Amino acid sequence: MLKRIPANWILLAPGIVILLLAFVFPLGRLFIYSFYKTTSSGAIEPAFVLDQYIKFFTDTYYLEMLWRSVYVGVIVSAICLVLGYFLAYGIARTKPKYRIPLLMLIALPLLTSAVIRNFGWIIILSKKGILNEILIKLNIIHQPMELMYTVSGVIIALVHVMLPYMVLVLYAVIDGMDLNLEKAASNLGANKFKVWWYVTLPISKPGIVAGTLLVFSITLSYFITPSLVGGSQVKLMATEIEDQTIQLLNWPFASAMGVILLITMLIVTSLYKKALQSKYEGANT
Amino acid sequence: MKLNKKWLVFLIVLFAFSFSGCQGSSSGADTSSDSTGDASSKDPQKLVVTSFGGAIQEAQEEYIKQFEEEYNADVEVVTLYSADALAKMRAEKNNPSLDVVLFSGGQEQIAKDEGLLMELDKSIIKNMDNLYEGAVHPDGHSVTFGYESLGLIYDENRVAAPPTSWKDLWKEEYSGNVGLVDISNTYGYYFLLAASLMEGGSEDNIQPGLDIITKLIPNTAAIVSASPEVGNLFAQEEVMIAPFDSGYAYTFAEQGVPVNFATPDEGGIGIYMTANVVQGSKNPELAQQYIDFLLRPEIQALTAEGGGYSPTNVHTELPEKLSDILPNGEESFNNLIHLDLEKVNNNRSAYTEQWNKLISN
Amino acid sequence: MKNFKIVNFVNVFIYIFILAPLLVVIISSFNTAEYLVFPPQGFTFDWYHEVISKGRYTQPFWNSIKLAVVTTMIALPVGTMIAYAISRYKSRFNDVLQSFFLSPLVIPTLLLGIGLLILVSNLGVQMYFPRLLLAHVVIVIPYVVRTMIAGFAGMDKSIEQASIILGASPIKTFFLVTVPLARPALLASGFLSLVVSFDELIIALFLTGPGFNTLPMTIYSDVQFNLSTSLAAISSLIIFGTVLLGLLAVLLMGVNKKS
Repeated sequence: MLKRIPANWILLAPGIVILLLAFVFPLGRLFIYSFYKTTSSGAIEPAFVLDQYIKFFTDTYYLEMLWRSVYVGVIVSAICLVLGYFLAYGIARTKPKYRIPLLMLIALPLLTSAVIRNFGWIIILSKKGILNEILIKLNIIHQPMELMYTVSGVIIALVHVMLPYMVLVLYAVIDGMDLNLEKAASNLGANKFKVWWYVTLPISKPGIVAGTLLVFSITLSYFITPSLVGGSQVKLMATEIEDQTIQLLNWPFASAMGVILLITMLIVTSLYKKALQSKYEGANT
Repeated sequence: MKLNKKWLVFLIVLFAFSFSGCQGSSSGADTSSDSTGDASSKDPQKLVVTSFGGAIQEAQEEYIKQFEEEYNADVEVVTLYSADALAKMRAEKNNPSLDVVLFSGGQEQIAKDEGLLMELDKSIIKNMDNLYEGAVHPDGHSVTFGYESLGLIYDENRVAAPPTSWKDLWKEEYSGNVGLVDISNTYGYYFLLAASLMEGGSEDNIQPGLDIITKLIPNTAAIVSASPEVGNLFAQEEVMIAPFDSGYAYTFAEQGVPVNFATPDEGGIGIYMTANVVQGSKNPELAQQYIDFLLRPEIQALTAEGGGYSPTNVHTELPEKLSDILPNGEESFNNLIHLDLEKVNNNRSAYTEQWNKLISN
Repeated sequence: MKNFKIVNFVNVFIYIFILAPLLVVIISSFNTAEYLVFPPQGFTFDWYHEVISKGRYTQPFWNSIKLAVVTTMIALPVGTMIAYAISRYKSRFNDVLQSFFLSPLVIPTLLLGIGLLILVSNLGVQMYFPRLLLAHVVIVIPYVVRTMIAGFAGMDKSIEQASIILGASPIKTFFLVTVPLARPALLASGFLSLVVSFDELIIALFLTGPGFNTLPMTIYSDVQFNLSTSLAAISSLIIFGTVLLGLLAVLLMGVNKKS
């Protein structure tokens, strides 16, 4: 009997069961909520209407917010990719005994409570903060930059906390890579950059795809850091969902926003994969 | 290599030591919850109550020990901010895990409307008779165990004369040094309403408030959403003045941040800390006994000392140290502007949208 | 060699960027003032003493460790199996499956927390550890799946094929060939899963109940009311502990290599 079931479905079964039980089922409930009505006091009224979606798509305020979320997600993923690649490359090429400690060092931001980390950012990024003071002393800028409570500040803080994810995923690929290929290429006379461009980079592609997708997805749903560093001036989908859920108790609208966020992620992801596939042929990730 | 091994041993010992140290001290602190169980013959009854964390929770956990002994109860304190608590209650409506919930942002009105609260019984909560008029909500579902006033908190070193009116916020001398709180925070919302009342608007008409705050925004150093961040703004000298509440002003000052509180001449906005029993609580009698306990004069004094919540029991007497700083007494209670919670809550969604659109530009 | 130096040079700056805000926190934790402020006005160990002697954080700390370890023990094998199935077996559902297993990442944990709370409280599940564990497994699986897919894709398939051709069963091949080859990816995803679970706050806030507090929850509860210096001290303790563990790893690996 068992043999009739393909091996891959056996491997997938536990994961599917867990996700059905603890993800699809509870969120299905919220998906249904997204078609409910909300009374002015925030009470939920069972119905089947598109009110929430209509509200979202007919108001440029929310559309801009969606665009801002995607934009921040793309920028954060791109910066993380560049910085993370440097870090992961450096770690994979260092002595084995230093690898785990360095990875732990990079993960430190994740182990520090967001509110406490935010205190660090206030000290560094605010108008009278350390960064502005240093840059003014060095004569690089003359007017202090506004970083706290701006999109730039949110991007800086998000890169900081997303970087560990990117590094770990890239490290997983770069470290598993066959160093002989690089050696062979350089023995054949290619310079370091060429070796990297033609040998290392293509092999690390799965890591790049995985890392950027991971960071992009988490960024879309991350709300504690943006709401602290961005204050109330920088509204993102995730922070707005938090407000709607907790402060305004408008669960139908929050659910609709969650659904929209999920669909956005699926669209962006498939576009990204298509773009990559047309560039490099036959990659399977 | 020998050096390496020595270091290794040293580190392991250090690690083991530090953790065993932690554990030893924690077991000492944790015994409070089960000590009552051994003392009496009957198993203690369980009660789950919420608190707001930080200093107020520390104070409450301390006096709860007394309650546990008196009533042979086993009380578990859960930290939940008012809005989080309401969301949680709503989600677990059919099977509540909380017994007593404390609200500070007018959530009791919504909770009652959604059938999440039990009606309180005066014969159990005897102290209800000793409260200021208005501390018992007319619908009989919640009772105010402490109050605060929304006013102005200011840096006492950098602000020459204490502010006397909301209008002071717009003064040229504070330009660039005003702190504001986002509307997603109840204090921020109440300030928007205060500004509207000042300009002739009402709970149903905030346009005048929005108009005048628009003029204030260029003067602000920051608009923050989390309450403790306000203290941080003052500590870092980013702001000199902000519309905020008396309780936090007290907490910040207790920590050593140089701030003071002033009630504006237009009247402070009342912020009422209410105690409520969750509908479906497995132990409604004990829950109400706990609320009665919170209303006792001596306990209210401790609450005031812990969190800066002014007392509501006519018999409560505050030590001088507190009565000097905190608003207190029946007159102060009656002078507060009591917002119409139903309107306040019903309009919140729409106002939030208007406000967000205003400040994100 | 020249290229290596450029990498290292850039990396120094990135490490500074990573550590800067944390250094601010560490420096502030020795301040004499009772509230978080920078630059510090004095030097004291009082806050460390307070954090350790009060013991407020000890039980939550162990709870978080326990939760993170058990979560990883479940999510790592489950996620690896999923990733292996998607990477090594051709199926027209692979794309859909990948998106499906990635989707918990995109739903703000708040919504998932509330959705799960509605579900478990309707079912009457009052056991806080299991229900939190289940939620953590769900949010951790995407990290493992993503990392392992990347790891498997970067691997040389010919060695696996050789093993099968030489007569080893697929299961034997998986454990004797694939797993050792995938070590870096396994390490990375195990590490990710530990960290994500250890740091998670929002779901814990909704799904736990009386008696089971995690460390992020305890810190959150202290942060809500006031930013006291002891919060910087507890955060610094975690940082020091992590760094110590890292040093320990260096020493252990150094000893291993030599003996």
